[in-house]
Amino acid sequence: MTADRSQLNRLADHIPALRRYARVLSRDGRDAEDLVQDALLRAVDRLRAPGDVINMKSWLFTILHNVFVSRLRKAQVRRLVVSLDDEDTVQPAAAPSQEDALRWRDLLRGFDALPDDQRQVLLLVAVEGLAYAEVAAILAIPIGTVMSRLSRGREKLRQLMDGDGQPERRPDTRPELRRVK
Amino acid sequence: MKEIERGVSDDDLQAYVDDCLDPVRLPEVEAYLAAHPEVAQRLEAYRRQRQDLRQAFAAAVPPQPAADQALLRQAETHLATRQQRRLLAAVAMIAVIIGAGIGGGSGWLLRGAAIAGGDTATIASNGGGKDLSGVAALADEASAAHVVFAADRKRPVELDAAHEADLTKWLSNRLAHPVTPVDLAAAGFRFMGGRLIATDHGPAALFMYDDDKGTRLSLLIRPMANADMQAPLSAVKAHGVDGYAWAQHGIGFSLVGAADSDRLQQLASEAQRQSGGI
Repeated sequence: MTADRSQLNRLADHIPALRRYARVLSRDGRDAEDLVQDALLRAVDRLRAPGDVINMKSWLFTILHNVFVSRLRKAQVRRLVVSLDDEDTVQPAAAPSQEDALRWRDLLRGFDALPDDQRQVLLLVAVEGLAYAEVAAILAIPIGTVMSRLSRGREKLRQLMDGDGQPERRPDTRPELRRVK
Repeated sequence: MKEIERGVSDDDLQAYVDDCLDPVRLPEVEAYLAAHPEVAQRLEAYRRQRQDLRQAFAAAVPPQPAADQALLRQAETHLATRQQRRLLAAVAMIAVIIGAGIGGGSGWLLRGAAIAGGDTATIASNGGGKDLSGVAALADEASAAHVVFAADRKRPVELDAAHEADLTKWLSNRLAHPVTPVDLAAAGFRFMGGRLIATDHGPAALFMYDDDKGTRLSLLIRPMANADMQAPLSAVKAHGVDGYAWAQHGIGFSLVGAADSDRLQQLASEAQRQSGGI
């Protein structure tokens, strides 16, 4: 009839993934933790019988996304503009090699320079390994839109990271970079 | 970018990168890539990008087991509260039906030991357990919290007895009133620690005690909300837990647990004495 401890444990397995998505959504560490918390409480509210939710990860992502969207609406928040410097707060924790750490930091900077809709799709597909149809359901967009955002996001990030590994910011690429659909 | 040639679409290429291409399409896509090495190179870069992104995210959002546990505990409390509300609603519904058949119930039984079995009817006559006030609400909250936290073998309290000073300071701040745990050691009950809980009447302190047999007691303390600012020690029963409740100078107390009634009464009297009443 209602959720139980084993379901809570199933939730727990996905908290790290929720954190990643929350970070991509909010672009801010503290907001991200808040989002995860809200999403978990909401998830607990909706859990019913064990086995009720078949694809827990995808279901949790949907809730997290909805929490984020409803917050945006509520606050009528203007789009968060984050300067690249803010991303310096990203601290690799696991002590990767210095070289890797730098490379990943640059990659995330490039990633964060992508439009939000492309970042979300790229994370869900490439990092979280979700199916295109799942991503379409989470974001409530047609699958064709998922595909085009994925394709553009990947290519844009590749171009950004091409060369010396630093995100390029040539003015003449701007019109293309700014195109958001 | 729409690279459609021999029926190979950009979607096919993306699916190829993500290893989710329909196997039927695979030979065609592979043939296409063999003929277009620059595209093959690009797809290879996408694969590396995927791998790098995973590692970058793993480093940027490291595992936080302690924070995970805190989130889970919150979810658990939330879940328990919800389940209890439902149970109460169901019990109240049944009691209303029974009460209607019998021709009305009594009030929340709050006198002496004439309590046993009065639980369901009393909740119904108090509006489904939602609109309790005064000492009855206090007992209801203490029992509800006791059911949840005393059953928790791993983490019954948020701050344990070793951090009593921190706990006391925290709770006193949140309640805007000095609260301290009473000492029931002489009666065989050790102070375990406590936590802040939410009630319909604002924040409350919950202290927990146990004896050598593992019997646990919960003591709830909070400012009273406009009712029963002063109330004598009374036996109470809610959520299947026995206890006693009282109020003095606008602060309410409820001691509940699985100890027998006489013992509970002695303990409650002692707690009342220490907390400045009588």
